[in-house]
Amino acid sequence: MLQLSRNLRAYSGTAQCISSITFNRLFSTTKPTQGTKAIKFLKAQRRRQRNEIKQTNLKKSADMVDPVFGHKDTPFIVRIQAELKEPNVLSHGYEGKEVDKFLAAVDATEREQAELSGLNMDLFETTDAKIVETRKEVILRILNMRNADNQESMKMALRLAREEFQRFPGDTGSSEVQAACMTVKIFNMAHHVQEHKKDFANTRLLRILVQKRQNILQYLKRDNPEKYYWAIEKLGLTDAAVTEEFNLDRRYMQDYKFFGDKILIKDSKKTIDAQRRNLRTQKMIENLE
Amino acid sequence: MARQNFIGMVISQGKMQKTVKVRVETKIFNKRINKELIHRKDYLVHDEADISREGDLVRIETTRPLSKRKFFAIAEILKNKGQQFAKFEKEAKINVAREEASKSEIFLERRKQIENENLSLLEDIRRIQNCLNKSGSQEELKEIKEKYGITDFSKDTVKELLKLNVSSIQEDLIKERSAIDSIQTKLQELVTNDTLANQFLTEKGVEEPEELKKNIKKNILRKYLLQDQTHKQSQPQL
Repeated sequence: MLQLSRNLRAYSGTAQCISSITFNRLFSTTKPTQGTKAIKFLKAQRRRQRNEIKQTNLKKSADMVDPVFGHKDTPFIVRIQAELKEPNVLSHGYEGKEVDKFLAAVDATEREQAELSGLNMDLFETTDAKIVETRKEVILRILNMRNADNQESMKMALRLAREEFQRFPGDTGSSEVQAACMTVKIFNMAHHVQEHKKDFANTRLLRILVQKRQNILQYLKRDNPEKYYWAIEKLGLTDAAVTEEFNLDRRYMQDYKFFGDKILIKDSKKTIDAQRRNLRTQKMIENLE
Repeated sequence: MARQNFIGMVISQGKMQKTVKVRVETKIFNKRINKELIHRKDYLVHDEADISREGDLVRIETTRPLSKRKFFAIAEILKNKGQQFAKFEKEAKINVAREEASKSEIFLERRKQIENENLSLLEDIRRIQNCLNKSGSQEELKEIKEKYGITDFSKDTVKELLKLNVSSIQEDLIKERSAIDSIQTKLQELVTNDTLANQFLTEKGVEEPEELKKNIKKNILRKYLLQDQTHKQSQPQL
């Protein structure tokens, strides 16, 4: 039989017409891809690969929100940060109008004293407008929030957060107010840790704070679900970011680029190979489709 | 024959069409450790209208096999917690977006207002003082009156206009303190003088104040004194 098939292949050009008449199925082998079983297998393989890539992409997708910072550019946080950087915001709880009042009061008392001393009022000269203007500028510059320390700006940020989340004026203890205040603190502390990456004590405190916020929001979900969804939406968090287990570890820091693109965990060869293989199959499938 | 019935929680929804995953928990007694253990089993369940959401408590019932793994259908929804959560989440997204838009608008408006604001308080005060001293033009005063909402002028109005937040807070604090002190003295007076206290309490409508215990009587007296105080404070404002 082998002999015959060899002969047939050798003289395939001449023997073609004869073979088509004599045999239904030739000894010549068909290509492996043409068999029905093989086609089925390939299709299944393609389907499986597509699913595997979909599953890996799901984990990386955009609805996985950073449990520390929340969504990027949350309007509430952006607004509070803008509020602190306004030009005429003063520290220590002073208002811009009060500086005007203060300068006017100084002027008024000067005049009153002159009157009381019995001077001729025609000789009394009011202070020049330019001088008053420079005085005002100096006071504003000293009291400006930009020249204040971090503690002062944190105080103001916390006040703003409290006023926005409170249930009634003067409310400082409701869960959403606590969560909002914690969020302000978390942002402050996280920026500090990002700048001082060896500050392990504060990293630990940050971890504690994030988990505390999770706990209080979980309580709020039980207590008042409507308020809960409003609060997390406002703080830029999601239900998963609150309810799922979270630890501020190196894995998190690497995945969410806490310290930029720095590699904090060395993956094993096995996982790196798997990732590479995944990427390759993804590219292959994209090319086919 | 009665159909097989289970009660379980919806744990996955929206991944398959008209199908949810329901977790049924049963207690099974383990003989070896002599203890009941929780046994969990997940079923794929048919949900024709796609109503249920993750977190709902549902009763499921057997049907004819609907697919390879599906032979249950939702009979009724016992607790629609998951549906409520989904609704709240949807509403919150709309509400917060609207709220944030209005708040940022207010913020930008305020910024504009501060830029345009030209406070000439100093000049106004000078003018007032001029007018008071030399009986200056009344038209100017009218303008200022309208601007600050003042009806009558005196030397104190200038002080009132120039009052700082800190000093006003301080005054409030002093008032509060004096009020507390006065209540304390009154209370002490009533506690020491029993007949006066009884008279006071009967005036307020307390029955048989003589039989009250000493400490309880003191508390009631304090309550009515405080009430009187707040009543007095609120009256002039009205």
